[in-house]
Amino acid sequence: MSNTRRLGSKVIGTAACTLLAATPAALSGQIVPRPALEQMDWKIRTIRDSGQPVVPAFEGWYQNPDGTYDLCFGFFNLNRAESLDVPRGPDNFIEPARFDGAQPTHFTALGEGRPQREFCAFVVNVPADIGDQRVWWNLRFAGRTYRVPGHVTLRPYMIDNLVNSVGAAMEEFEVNRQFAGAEAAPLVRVVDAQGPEARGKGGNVPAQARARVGAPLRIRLQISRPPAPDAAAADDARRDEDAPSQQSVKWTKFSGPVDAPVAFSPARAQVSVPGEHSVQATFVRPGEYVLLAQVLHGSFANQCCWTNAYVRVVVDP
Amino acid sequence: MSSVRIVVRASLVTASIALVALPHAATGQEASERGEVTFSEQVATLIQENCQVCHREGGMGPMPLTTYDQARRYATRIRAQVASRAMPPYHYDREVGIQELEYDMRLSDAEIATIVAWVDAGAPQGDPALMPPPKAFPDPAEWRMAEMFGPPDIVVPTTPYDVPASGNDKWWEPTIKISGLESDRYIRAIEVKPSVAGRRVVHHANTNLMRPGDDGELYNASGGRFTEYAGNKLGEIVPEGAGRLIPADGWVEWSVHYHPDGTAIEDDVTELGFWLYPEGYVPEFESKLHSWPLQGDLLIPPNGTAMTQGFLSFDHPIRIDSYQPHGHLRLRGASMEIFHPKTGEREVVSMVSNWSTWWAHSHIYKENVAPLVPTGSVVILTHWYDNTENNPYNPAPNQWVYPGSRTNDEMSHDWVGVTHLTEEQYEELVSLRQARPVASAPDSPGR
Ligand code: HEC
Repeated sequence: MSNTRRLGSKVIGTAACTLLAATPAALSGQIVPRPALEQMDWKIRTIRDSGQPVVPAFEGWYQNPDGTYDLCFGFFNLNRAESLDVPRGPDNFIEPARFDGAQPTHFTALGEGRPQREFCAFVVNVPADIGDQRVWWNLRFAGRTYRVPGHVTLRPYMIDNLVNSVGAAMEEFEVNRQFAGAEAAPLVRVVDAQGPEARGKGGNVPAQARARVGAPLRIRLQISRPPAPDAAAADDARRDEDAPSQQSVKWTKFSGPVDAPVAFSPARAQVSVPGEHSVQATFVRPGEYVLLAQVLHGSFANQCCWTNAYVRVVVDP
Repeated sequence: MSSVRIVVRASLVTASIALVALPHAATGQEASERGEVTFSEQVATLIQENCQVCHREGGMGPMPLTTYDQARRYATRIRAQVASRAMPPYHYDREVGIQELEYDMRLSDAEIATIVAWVDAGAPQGDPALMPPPKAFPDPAEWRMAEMFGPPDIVVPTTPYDVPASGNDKWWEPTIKISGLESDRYIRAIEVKPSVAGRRVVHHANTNLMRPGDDGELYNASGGRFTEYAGNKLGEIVPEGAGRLIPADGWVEWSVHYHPDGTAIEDDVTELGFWLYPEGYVPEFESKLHSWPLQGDLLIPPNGTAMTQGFLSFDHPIRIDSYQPHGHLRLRGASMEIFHPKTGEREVVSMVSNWSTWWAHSHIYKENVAPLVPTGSVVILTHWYDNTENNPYNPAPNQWVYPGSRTNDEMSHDWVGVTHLTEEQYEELVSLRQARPVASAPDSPGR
């Protein structure tokens, strides 16, 4: 009966703090014999205001035109109010070491509302002959490691990078054209900083900018549609020019000095594409930062489509 | 929160019932001792009636089981699948909850014992002259409900979609005018029919009912989902006397979720079929398909587990007509209970402890046992998720699993068919039941 009691007490959430009590055996991937349902430890509450870890997510992988692959990683900060900085090093590293360095060091608090993870905040580019090799992202909090393996042999985790044919257009009612309805990662150019145009989740070279502590830095993004894949789609695109699509922009601090939050105004916005978006970023400490703008056409939960645009900012005192 | 505390005590009784061990495999020892089970005499009929609808040429099963030779060849696997109640694929616990279900595909203990005894006896053929005549089946491309109701009155297809062989899950979301309706009508039954090839890859196909507003723009008039389909579901039948409206000026907004599985399908079309009550039919009750959310932060560690729960209560009585849990690859168990704060009683209505995302059934309660929930009673929904190696459907036990729409991510809601009642209607239904008691249902306010 004690197992039943434990199940019962979970109902009112009193024993809910056992989250993430993953055993070392579990973390190292060992197989444990299957217990009956009522003997398993069921957990209910994982998101709190503070004191919880950030857990990594392997979102999936896709192949690039040059044959290499991108492994997409995201993360879930389980704290509603607590943002965390974890510098690269023993508490935040990628294995094998040659892939280390692409990961973020800042993990913005979840905030209120429907909790969602940060989807594919960065990619690890791996060679075409990577085979079954695992790339692990490790995060450590309070002496416990949270890690996920990324690998391209996990077929169900294959994702789209640039175009998904999610159609929601209701135009002309009975017809739904595949491309017009399709979502496509936009082209994003950082106007006030020097850098190339970005498209898709990975492989984007950060734009460069300079700022001073306390003085808002204005960053403008020029967002445009990707070129149409064929003539019919080009026709559709021309027709769509009168009806720009609504896309969303989300800004976060990706990396930078510890305990140095960046204030974005606005941190989230809707933008008509093609169009322009402008944000003001204000810094409280000098140092080198990377900011991430995710420009979304589609749905994070559906894994397509958006562009990760990074801006490296050197902040002078 | 004091009522919730009572739940805990009540759960000591009900949860322990709900979670008893999985069904024991029937041994069939008795029948085999008599040594009289043969394919021709007993087993062929069972296979015809319970298996061939899928296991025949062109059916969805991986191999046909239409001849003795085929059945003998797979005898060992048939024994394993049948004894473990994996086949027929209708997973619904037998020891607890309402057992009187419409279109229940489960075999009885005696039927399982017969098949097991037959295999254990070496799968003898018996006298071929005693074989039942072959069973005729409709074309697999046919509507499954046509057997009961004839051809559908209205069909709303998606526009064609090319499903790629591999890659990200896809969502195909065309909006289609409902044509062929002259006036608003009430729905008797609904079936969502993926193409024969599409059945492998259509993970779910949901629809919203849209209507033109005053400005001509379409708005969602279903207030939630209009219809729902997942994993080989048969369909939904609106109970007698209840009404679910289909308006003559309606549109269907589709959301077909494809999970590519290795073979491309060109021009795939999923269809929505409606069978209607006759013109002029006026329903006694209002009926709706609800998507009820479960709470709890769905986050499953590598090689870990998670549980979510949902609590719902209403300011009016309801009758629960059907129950269909929804989750993805890590969901393994689900239950629906009713807690009565006035008596402290908590009863298990339905339990599925071997759930699989590939087989989504809407469990339809027989009308005279469909739970009647008085005002203020609490419906408790529970899901159990298993991200360990022991979950046979788990593609990657080393991954953290989060909420999301992909098959690799998780979801936590149940589709529940509900008839909303007034207090008078509720009293009437309760007294009808008292006049016609159900033998197997214990005496409780929920029945
Ligand atoms: C609703 C359709 C359906 C019904 C009814 C059904 N099956 Fe199946 N069966 C399937 C499908 C689809 C598979 C393959 C996927 C799976 O295992 O879920 C399968 C798999 C099997 C397998 C496993 C084959 C293997 O590769 O090992 C056996 C054995 C089997 N069924 C026997 C039966 C028997 C015996 C019955 C009747 C008592 C039955 N099935 C009823 C659809 C069905």
